[in-house]
Amino acid sequence: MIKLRLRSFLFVIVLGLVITLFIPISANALSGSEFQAGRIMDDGVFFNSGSMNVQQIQEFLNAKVPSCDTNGQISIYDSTYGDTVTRKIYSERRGISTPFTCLKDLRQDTVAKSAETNLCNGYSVANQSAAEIIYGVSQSCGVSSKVLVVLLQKEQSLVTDDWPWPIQYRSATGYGCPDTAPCDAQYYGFFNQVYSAARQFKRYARDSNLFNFRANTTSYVQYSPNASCGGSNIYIQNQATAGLYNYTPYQPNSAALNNLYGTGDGCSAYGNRNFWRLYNDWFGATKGVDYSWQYAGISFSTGSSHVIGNTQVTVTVTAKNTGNQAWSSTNFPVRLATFAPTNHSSALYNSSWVSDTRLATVGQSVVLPGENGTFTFTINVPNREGPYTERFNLVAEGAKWMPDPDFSINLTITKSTYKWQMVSQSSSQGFALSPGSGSQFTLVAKNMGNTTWSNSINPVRLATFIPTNRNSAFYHSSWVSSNRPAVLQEPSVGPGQNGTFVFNVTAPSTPGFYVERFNLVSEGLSWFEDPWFEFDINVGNFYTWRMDSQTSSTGTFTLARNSTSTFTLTATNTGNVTWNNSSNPVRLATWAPSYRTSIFNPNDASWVSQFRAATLTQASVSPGSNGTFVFTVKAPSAPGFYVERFNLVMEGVSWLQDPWMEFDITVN
Amino acid sequence: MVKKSRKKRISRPLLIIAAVVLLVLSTSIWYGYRIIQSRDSVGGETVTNPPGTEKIDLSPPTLEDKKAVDQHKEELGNQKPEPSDSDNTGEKKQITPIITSASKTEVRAYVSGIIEEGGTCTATATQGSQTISATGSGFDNVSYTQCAPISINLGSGTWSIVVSYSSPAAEGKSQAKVVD
Repeated sequence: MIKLRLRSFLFVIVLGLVITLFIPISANALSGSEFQAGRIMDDGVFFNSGSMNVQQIQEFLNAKVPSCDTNGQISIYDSTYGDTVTRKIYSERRGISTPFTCLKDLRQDTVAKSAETNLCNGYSVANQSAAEIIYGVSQSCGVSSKVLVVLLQKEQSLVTDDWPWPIQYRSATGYGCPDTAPCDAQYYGFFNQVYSAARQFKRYARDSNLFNFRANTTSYVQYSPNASCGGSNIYIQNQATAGLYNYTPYQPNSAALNNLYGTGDGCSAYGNRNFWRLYNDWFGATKGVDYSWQYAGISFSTGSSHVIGNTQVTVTVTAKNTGNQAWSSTNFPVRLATFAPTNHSSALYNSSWVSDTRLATVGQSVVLPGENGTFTFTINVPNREGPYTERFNLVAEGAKWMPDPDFSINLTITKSTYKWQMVSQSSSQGFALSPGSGSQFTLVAKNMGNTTWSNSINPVRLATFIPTNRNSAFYHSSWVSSNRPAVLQEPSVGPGQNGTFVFNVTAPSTPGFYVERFNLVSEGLSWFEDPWFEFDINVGNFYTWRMDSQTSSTGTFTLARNSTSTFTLTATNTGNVTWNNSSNPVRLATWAPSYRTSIFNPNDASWVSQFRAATLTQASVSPGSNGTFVFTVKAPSAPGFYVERFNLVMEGVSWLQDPWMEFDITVN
Repeated sequence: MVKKSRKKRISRPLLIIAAVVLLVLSTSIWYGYRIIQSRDSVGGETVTNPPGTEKIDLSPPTLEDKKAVDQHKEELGNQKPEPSDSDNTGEKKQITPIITSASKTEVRAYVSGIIEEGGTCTATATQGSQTISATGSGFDNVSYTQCAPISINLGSGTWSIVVSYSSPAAEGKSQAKVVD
């Protein structure tokens, strides 16, 4: 009872093990929809004589027959006799005796074969294992060992058979003896079968014109030997596929493909299906990695490929996946890369690229065969006039470059022009500045070029010029830098529009006449064409004035002899120094000559002195403001017409510049 | 009686240990298998080799593999010897040639059901009352008889082509194929 329990428990565990082992296998099973009738296998896979070495073949054969039932001891149901017997008895009933030799254990004498041009390189006599024969034939004929192994399974199930019969070895590769003539010795035996099959596949290639199915042609392929089952025309894409159809001239129908690991219907043939399925399951893809693409479109953020130099344009390239591999953005990511020559540096490079030779990674996480993938990236348009062409191609990073579909990005570039013209210039304090004083300058500039100015991307700035980037004597700490007084105020200024630059200056301490040359620059792109622009600034203390008005308290400048009147002069401070009436007061003084004695001096102490008629009324008069001077006059006793010249003086500092001011008085 | 019960007491813990060991073993094997399988899958996160890389599958034969062996054995075991063509029945084997491609200049066909050399394949093109024929010889190709390409020269218009095969052992006609 305990034994029974243990046994049943172990049985459950083993069953569980078996089930769990098979779960992942079925999860990764191949689908019949992946079968490509025109391309069952690629030539590079089929004719790869280096696919396995002898040891690998032997290990594989060992794995597929973990234990050979040499003496036929396993039981089997014999449907003909309706009983369960050992394989030994089952076989003996059919004239076959034990022991059975499994493929992994088979040894045989090979047969001498002479070399034939473009078929096989011949064979020497030797006693060889099946693995050695498979390898040797593969080497001699240039057909993959894996293909030969699959062929043995497809034709006679020899690879997985743990009790094979001699008849299976006799037609190991299905190479049949003629029906109407004695079987040629060249077809007998395992070695001959393998060699003949490999040689025949080479013959389909060498003498392709003799056979039905040829690479790059369309042929009708039936679904089964029964003509009434029909078939379809297949465009056969390569020699390997042509060879497989010449060897077995049927294609699987949809019933056979829908039930890939089982049977289809009465019209199903399984040879080429099983060959393809077995190869996939045992050795991987029958097709080499086919990464390929076709151009499917391009778009530009500018709306067309007509672009302006030195601008940034966003481009989207659409590519159709015409290969058999899904494109990924992470595993062997598919990227648009510089090409012809590969990995050349591009004049379109933008720092947003993956690298200097990789414009972009495919925008979708997965692009299946037949689907479109997109590549979006920004280019820096070089500033040159005319057409621009550059070659690109897709690469599956770490896997391979795709075949070149002759793709290029074609641009028609209009060279950027950077031109401007001054509209106006102004200074809040005028252009005569006292040493060390400040002012705010404004320049309004018209965009005369074909690019839009920006104050953020490649910002347009006012820059010191002649020499370029010189340091300015008018530098103010609010500048962008010592040679960039201001950046464009407006976010963007299109062609024909005006842009404004406003900046503070500090006048230098050294008086003089300064010519400050400036120009515009689009940072990182280009200097503008020089329109010859300058600010002309006089630095120093300037004592100038002009008369604003003169009045007489009597309402007239015609005075009676010895009469008095009060004159008022209103003067505008046109200089750059503030007038005051306390320290270094500004006064109205007799003039032409200076220190002239005026006969209109009333001599009543109302004048400041003999030569100074009045002091500025206001405590302070800043540049641009008016000051008044009020004084009393007394007409002389001698009638006549008098011209009395006056000027302003800043006592202890300077005479003001003579604006020619006079009072014209008639005395009668 | 006493002996029996002692045995029972010893066996139970052993049984539990064995169960735990086997469970751990089966789980680890299962996980190992999953990792190996996922490495081979294309497009998964765990891919370590470029897609399309070949492999050599050393796993034991699957149920399908074993089923295929049994089926093939059954076919071989229950095979009845076909009436040989050399049997003196006097009757030729009836076969149906198959046209794989046909144009106004060339017809290609093969004959399944017989493997032999020396037969004759004849392409006969018919347009109204007009008939044009051309022949090619048959030769063996692995498991069937291949007709050498038959050159033909057909004028404009639609032609109906039939390929017939004839040898001492077999004869037959294909379905008609229309060439425009």
